[in-house]
Amino acid sequence: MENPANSDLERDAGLEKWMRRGGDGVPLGTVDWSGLHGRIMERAVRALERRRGGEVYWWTFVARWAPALAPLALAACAVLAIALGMSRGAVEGALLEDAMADVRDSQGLEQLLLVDWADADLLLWATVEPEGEGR
Amino acid sequence: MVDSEQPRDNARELAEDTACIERTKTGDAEAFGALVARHMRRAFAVSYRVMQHREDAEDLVQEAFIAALEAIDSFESGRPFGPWLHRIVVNRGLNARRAAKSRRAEPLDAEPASAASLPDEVVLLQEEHERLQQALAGLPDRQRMILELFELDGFTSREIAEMLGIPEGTVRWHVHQARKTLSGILVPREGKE
Repeated sequence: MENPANSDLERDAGLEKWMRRGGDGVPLGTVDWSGLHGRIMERAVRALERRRGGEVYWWTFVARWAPALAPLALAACAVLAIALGMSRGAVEGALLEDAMADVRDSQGLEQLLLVDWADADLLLWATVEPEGEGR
Repeated sequence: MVDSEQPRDNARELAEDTACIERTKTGDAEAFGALVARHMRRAFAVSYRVMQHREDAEDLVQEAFIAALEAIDSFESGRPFGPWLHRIVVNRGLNARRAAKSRRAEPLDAEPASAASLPDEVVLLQEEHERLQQALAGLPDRQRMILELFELDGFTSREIAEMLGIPEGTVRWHVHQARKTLSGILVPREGKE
């Protein structure tokens, strides 16, 4: 019985022979190589001059530095966000203390109803009753 | 093999290419010229297999070298330049073929001689050539290109895989399929001879 592997090998060898005999070779002999070289170099002149002039495209710059710059930019954003959050908390705390002290000093504080922290502007509503007027 | 050039995978040639590429990055025309001279024949062979037309293949080689120059900063130094360039050739060539399918393979002979005036052996060779060309034309474009690069031009399956950006196993599968298809067309008559 015929071994299929052998018949495959025979088939491939036969085809290889066929292709080498009847296949189109690459027409290397018909190409004017120095002309082709010259045309390529002529077109390359501008790109090479740009390189000599040190002109760098922005996308080349970004592509080259993106792997290093992206984590740095993220870290910088995180630090900035934390710093802003802390300073805002400190400012608002100080403003609240000042406001409460003012109210206490001037009229006395009976009841603090609401402190709105939603904005940088501190909104403070307080119900103030004159001293001595009990419920 | 496509020409007398040896495969460019030995260490000395790799080092020379790497040096040329580094100098090209600084705008050195002489270095780029050397790179072109060294790689244009093999690039042309690949280009011809994609385009099936000599002039189109020459144009494609020019385009590919200029594209390679524009993108040379992204080329990883120390790697072989040939496969990278061939990949540019193949990608651009396939795009160009998709865009314009009008120009087809040019005939080998400008004016084919009449069969009557030729010796029997030459007539047989001509018939073989025509049958093979017809059989190849029946293959899918990509499969035909892979088979020709592999069988006629001596590229390895690994080199072809790098050019096309596909696994080496896929290249071998295409070669196997193409051989199987061709054997169905060519071998029965071969057996009769």
